[in-house]
Amino acid sequence: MHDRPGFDRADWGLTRARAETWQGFVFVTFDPTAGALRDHLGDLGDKLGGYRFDEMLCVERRDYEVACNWKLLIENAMEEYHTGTVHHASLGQQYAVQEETRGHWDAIYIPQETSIAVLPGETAPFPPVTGLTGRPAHGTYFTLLHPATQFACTQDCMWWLRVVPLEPTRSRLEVGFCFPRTTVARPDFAAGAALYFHRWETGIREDNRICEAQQAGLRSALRTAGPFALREPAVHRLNNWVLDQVLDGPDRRLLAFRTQPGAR
Amino acid sequence: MGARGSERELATIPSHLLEPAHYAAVRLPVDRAETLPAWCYGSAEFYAREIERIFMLGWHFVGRADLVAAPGDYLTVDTPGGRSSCSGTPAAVWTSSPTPAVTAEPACSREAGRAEPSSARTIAGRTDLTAGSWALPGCTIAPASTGRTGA
Repeated sequence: MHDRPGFDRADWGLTRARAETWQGFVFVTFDPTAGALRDHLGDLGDKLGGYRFDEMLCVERRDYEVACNWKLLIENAMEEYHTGTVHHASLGQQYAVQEETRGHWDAIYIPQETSIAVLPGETAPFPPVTGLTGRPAHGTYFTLLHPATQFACTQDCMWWLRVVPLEPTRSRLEVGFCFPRTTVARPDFAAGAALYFHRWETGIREDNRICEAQQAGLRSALRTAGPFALREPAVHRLNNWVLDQVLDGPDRRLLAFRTQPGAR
Repeated sequence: MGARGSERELATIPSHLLEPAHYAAVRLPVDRAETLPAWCYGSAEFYAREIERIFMLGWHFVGRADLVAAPGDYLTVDTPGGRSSCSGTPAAVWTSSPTPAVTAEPACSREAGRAEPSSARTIAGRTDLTAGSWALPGCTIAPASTGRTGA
């Protein structure tokens, strides 16, 4: 290109994008018109700031390739209706309540006085997050940061899940496991963390299998849309959030503008 | 409520599947609503619209800062849609030195979520990466791997 008049290599380099962090989580946008991250996240910080994520360490990351559409993994993660069947021999049945949120996130809350990050019948060996009070101290939040990130926050740790669409029927699930720095520094951390990793791996593999089975069912010519169970309203909200983004028309609620609590 | 039992009909994909009228039942209150049609989970057209309007816009979580805390650490960022959507290479790299930055590095190579040694060398060899955020035009993001340049 040196022989092309007017060509300046500097004009054809990398394109600037934006990155911001919130409590140790790195976010990126390639949309030059996107607002600030804090506006996108709405009241996430008010509801979950007590977990002090910025004082946690991500001790392990695992990736899984799953033969299903990205939405199936997210839908599965945002309702507990499936736990009594898919996880009946492992995590067991869970019962959640819906959370009101403002911003591009949604949440369900499972009241339970002990950490949900170990299997039923096991005792969580680690202390709760220092200073954790209010609802976070008495249950677990399963949150969806639209479009495809989940923060699962329980009393003594958190794990994040990010679904990366690869093809219409193939996705990569990336998971990271985080504990408070003080917990990671404990001499018994490795032994205690094994309980958590066993629980996480068990649950993730069961979820991945059912999502692939669900995708297979969607291929049936006999498949028709059906009703929602009343225990999966967050799935209904997710479906409508997706439609808000992808469809044209007077009802379209763009990604940047859902700011009212409980919208839809 | 949708067809069921003996009333059930074979599912078909409409010719204009992004027409809002196809989703009227999903828009109803949850106690009367229906799930998304099957094509929303497999149609290339619906998927392409999702990439364009959901994954190309807004803010996306890409990883934990504590995984790339040391000077020279980096986090590669992949593209939704897989390799075919962006020449099969990561769209961006987030580095922690000298200040947190997202940088594009189309020359990186990666297999199955693991950074190849060449990617680290490539990143380390770049001299035009400055503090800030960078990305390839036309690509959006997802975390792929972390590493260290040895800087």
